[in-house]
Amino acid sequence: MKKYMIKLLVTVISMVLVTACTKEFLDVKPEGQITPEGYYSTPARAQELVNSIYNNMLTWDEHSFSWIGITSIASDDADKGSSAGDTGADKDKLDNFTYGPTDISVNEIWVANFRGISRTNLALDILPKIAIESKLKNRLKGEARFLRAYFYWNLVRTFGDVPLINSVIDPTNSVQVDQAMIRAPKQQIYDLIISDLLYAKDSLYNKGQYENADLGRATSGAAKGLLAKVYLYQKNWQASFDMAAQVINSGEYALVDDYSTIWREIGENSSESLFEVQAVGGPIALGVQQYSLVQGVRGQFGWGFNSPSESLNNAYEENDLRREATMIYPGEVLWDDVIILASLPNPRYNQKAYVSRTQETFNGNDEQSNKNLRVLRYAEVLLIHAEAANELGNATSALQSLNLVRQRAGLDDISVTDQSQLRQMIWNERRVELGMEHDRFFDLVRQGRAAEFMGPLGFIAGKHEVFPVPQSQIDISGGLLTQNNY
Amino acid sequence: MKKLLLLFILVYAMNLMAQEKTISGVVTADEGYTLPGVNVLIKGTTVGTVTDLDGAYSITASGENVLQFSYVGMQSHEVAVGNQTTINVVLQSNVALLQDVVVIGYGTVKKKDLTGSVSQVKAADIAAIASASPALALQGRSAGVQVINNGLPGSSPEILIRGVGSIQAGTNPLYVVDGIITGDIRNLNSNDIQSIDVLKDASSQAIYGARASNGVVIITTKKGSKGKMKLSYQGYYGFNIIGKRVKMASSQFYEQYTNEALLRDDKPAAFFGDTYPINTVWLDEVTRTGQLVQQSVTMSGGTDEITYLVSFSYNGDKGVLQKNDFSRYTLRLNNEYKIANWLKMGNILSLSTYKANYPNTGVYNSAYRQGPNVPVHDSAGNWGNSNNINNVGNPVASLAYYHNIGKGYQIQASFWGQADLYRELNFKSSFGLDVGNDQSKYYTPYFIASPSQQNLISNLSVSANQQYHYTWDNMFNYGRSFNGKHNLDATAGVTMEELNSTYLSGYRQDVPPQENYWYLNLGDAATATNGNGGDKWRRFSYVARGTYNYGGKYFITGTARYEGSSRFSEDNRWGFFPSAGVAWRISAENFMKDSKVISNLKLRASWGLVGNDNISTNLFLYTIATGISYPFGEEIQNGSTITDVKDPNLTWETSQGLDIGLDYGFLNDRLYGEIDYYKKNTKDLLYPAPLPAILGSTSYITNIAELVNQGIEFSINWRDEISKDFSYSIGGNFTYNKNEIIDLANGLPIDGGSLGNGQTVTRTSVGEPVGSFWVYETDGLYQTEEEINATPHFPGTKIGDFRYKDNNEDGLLDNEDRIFVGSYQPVFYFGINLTLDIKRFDVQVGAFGNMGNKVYNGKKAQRWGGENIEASLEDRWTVDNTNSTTPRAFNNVPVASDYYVESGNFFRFSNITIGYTIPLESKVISKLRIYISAQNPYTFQAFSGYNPELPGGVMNSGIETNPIPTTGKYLFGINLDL
Repeated sequence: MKKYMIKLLVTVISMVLVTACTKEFLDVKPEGQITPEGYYSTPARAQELVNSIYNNMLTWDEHSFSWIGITSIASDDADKGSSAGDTGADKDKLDNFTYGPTDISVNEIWVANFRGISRTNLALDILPKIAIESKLKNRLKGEARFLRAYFYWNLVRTFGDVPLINSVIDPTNSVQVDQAMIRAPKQQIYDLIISDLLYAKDSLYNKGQYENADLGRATSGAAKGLLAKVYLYQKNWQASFDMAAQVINSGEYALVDDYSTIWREIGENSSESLFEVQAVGGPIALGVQQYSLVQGVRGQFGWGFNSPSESLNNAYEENDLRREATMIYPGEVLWDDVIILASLPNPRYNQKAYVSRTQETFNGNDEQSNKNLRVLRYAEVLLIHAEAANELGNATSALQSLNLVRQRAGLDDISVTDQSQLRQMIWNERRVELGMEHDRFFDLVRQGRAAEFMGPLGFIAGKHEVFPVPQSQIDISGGLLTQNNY
Repeated sequence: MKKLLLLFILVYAMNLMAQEKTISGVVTADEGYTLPGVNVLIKGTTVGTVTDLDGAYSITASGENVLQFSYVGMQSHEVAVGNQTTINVVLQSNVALLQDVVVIGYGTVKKKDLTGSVSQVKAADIAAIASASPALALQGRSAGVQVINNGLPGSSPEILIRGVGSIQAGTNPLYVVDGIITGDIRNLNSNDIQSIDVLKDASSQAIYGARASNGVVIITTKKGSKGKMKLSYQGYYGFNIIGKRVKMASSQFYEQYTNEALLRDDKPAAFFGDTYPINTVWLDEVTRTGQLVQQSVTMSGGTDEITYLVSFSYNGDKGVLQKNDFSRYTLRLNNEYKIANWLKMGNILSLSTYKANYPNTGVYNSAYRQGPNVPVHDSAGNWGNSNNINNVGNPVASLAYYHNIGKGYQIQASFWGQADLYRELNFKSSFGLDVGNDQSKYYTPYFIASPSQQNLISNLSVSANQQYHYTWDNMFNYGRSFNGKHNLDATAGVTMEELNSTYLSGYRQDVPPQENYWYLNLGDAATATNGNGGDKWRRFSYVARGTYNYGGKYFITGTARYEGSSRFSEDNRWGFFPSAGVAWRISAENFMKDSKVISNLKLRASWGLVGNDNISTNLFLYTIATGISYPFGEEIQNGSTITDVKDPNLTWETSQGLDIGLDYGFLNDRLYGEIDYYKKNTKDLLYPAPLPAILGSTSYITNIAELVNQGIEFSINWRDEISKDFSYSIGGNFTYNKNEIIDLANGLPIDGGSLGNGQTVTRTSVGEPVGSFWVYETDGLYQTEEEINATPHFPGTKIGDFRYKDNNEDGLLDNEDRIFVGSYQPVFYFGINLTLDIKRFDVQVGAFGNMGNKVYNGKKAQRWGGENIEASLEDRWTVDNTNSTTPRAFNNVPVASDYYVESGNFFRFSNITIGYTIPLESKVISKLRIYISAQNPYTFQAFSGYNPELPGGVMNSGIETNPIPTTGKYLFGINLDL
């Protein structure tokens, strides 16, 4: 009996040992994953939070295929390109104005920009709680608000009225979520964009104040430039004029001499650059996902989408240096001595998306290329200045800015002072100066000339000025989101 | 010479001793009734008799004779005569159903005492499978178990037990190998396996708690047994050959079709003149005849103190796809030691190591798509290419520059001790360890095959994954029979478990092309990137099971597992998984005991709750995503944020299962089988509920869906021994299953089955099976412009294109017009198995099939412009062939429609084996059998594609986008026992 008792005792003791520390046993800290408590407490962490907002600009759905589709293929500047059978999911429909609420491009633009806005709101929620010096804190808040303005600017131009989200939403609070889903009138969105940019303008560093390691961060100049453009869309000519003039008079920016270098690696972050999306194609590549690949010469470098149109090709004056810098033609020899194949399915490709494999940083990874996306450059500020001045009746000032841009393109000065004629000329100048730079579609809508230029392509006035709200988002909202005229 | 003389004298002397006498007795079955017709034979002679109607016999034999009693369905029995004159014998049934012991998790039970539903596959049927995964042995073997396999070397088949039970948390069952819970069984040598038991109903599964709802597959490996050492060798060699092929276009037809399609879009033709014949058959260019080898040696034996089993095996599988192979070595050591009368200890030790050249399966895709007018190499020796016509690379070039190799090892070991504590109470403690290590290298050299198929800087990715997993079970067991009527068995204990895994990965460019240089150190340090992460979880459970039966007639079983998992938040961590089962063995009742027709009849019913938590660890916790970086000033600066919305109340999926079954046996169990009805209701399904994008994320994982699987399983088997030289068996199992979604988050359906061209073809929606095909309905072809203009149509529609039905009659063609046309899940699936033993020959035939499911011809429906077409499109609509049902040549993205939905019905011979046991007069060799075997030799299929077995995940199965052909394996093998 004693033997049994010993055996039993040993067993019971071992069982007790096993069960005693269950609670501790099951409290496993997440392995290799960071939980938020206490993480954002240093300046470096604060910077990380803001960097993640910039990161959104590199994503496929923010700036790549869908953005190219909506801003460029849909416009009269470009055709779908690629091979006839390759629709790029819905790019054929964008080209022909036959797209609808279920097409992928509108959903990607919606999702990507709201993702950027959400990251901004989180940063703006956390930043005030971090103990860092106020100058840096304000700058970081300024960067975040600049980027939020940019994302909303894309949304409001694409969809018109959209939900206005300027704080972190609790996903478990259905009342809050439902409330947030309702589309705010366009003007409220513009008000938010303007207030964000006004804040950014005042809290951001000037271009020269940043360390080299911070090259690419939003600057005060960038905020002013974007503000000038937003005011232009608002037809607030005086404010637009003033902002553009502030940029011009700051002396921080200048046109580069050679237009053809603007979109090349040597033209990155040049004197002309107000804001661009940074990309590195070096040993470790991080770029706008597949931006160059999507538009690369088909059969040689890429998929060949977004082929510059006949109409854009014909829009340049004779001797305009900008045409050759914007187009790639089959059979031509490019600036880096690369010979483009003669027999290609499309007559033109976008040179602004071209990355040289021999003369520029290229690591073999064409999905993450070195191509910086130029969002806002000084030439456009000059054209905004010119347009606002002309609308304010200041033809002299307008011509001064306009001709700076023309001179660089190797063209003669204009001296027309008739407001209406000059307006047309400035608009034409915008088209060729900013060809293939994601501006044309929204510019035509702003100018009220969309039907005139894109009507033959299928544009219907009163409908196509804005794109359809994604059906999937309407479905998820349970009908709280409303549709545009689709 | 002396020895011979001695032997002669001895034999003579023994003969003298032989006293002939009459022996009589009665033979009864273990169930108590007498057995007529039992063969009674004097061993080593042809002298014998049979029992009469009352089971009585009488025979003349001598004292040193041995009597053999044999009867179909019963285990043969031998009795030495000695001094006896009356020998009464009780024969034990050897029908699987009655005598077999099934493994049920933390214990075993006799099949005849079972209240739940468990299927068992035995060693002989497992050893014959030429696959890295023994799981393939379950194919077509038992009702309710569906095994879907793509046939690639080293691949693991998908197993569905009683239907698709989850959307997000995996559908594969839990594997338990000798008590060690594991996720993969490709480390096991089939020859080492004693049995595979599949726990199918919730009452059997519940003992495994929160992980068991997809079913549990319990694998028990062989052990040694007391006696002289046995040595056996199993080996085979064979070939692997592509089965069904799809006939593709000739160069001429391809060029014609391509030009026609371009013309349709008012584009200039791509091909001029008629320099047709190149006719590259791309599938032939990238495939070969595969080879299969197995060598396996097992030694086992034991004494009173120690039993042992040692085995070693090699498996080699060279796939039909070039550069794809898999080889594996395994070593096993299963020992048991008797330390004292009351104490036993033992170990299981399994080591396996593999090496693989992983398949570049994308090549099957490009071989299907590349034009036949493109040569492998042109006359100048350059790779042929199709630039400007399509986006397809040269498949042979793709293979040539593809290097994806892996190797690794796995250690599965357990050490256990079992002590008899007090009378029938014993205690067993078992510590199991599962350690795995996998390494891979992926190298892409510098190459230029064509302007669009090139890699300008070589690069190497390496990765190493390690996993440590331990399980420690401590169980008490008490089993006792009171008065021979009340039989009680109880098990209770605790089990704890921890998994810890890490991965480490690195990447560099500019690594030299020689294979011995494929190390990161030899690449450009400036291009280096790396990654490292890990996972860890723990579980702690209390486990209990009690079974009771009265007189072998009335059975009741109850189990419970109270399980805590670190995978969920503290408030949602503990779950209770109870189950109960009852059975009534009608055939043991007095009124049926004497029935000559009914030998077994048992009614079962069971109920249980089980869970499924097979999702990533920490999904309930908000975490910070790092590496959300951005390049400032040419340097990449780290970024971090919270990217995902999480549900802090996340918990496991819970299935409530009901099972009602009947086991039957007739004519002394020559005819036997089971019928089961089951219903499994799974609630709190983990599901990526869609979120409004304004929250910054488009979905989050939460418990917000419900589905039901219900069905009927039926198995029937007939076996008979016509004579000593001729016996046979035939068995069939049939399963009807209905899968239906009851609820989804906000009722919103989820679309899947993306073809990668903007088209999705499945929808998971309330009232339909998971992953149902959801497509536009075609309504013939347009013959005139007027017809097109009169009906809703997609932009760009031309004569000869499909007319799609505007099912909601709103004058528009959109998703609202799509219809459900079935799913990849079969309504009905079955297996048939046949064995035949004629003298020294043995034959086994296995076949299985599906009915009522659909497959999507994704490869055909994915076509981008300018890609190859199937020869069957010769019959397409043209102005001269307007009666065709095949649309005209086109380059547009094909609209997802019922045109691409085909019947998934098939009937496949999975195994035909013919063996011959060579008669040998050897003292050394006890058995030598040679065999030839054909696995997957032929399939009757409705599908026009390569393979109707299309695994691919819950919402994407049944779609053949990347056509991996069925391969037939033809083997020659030897079994040798010493």
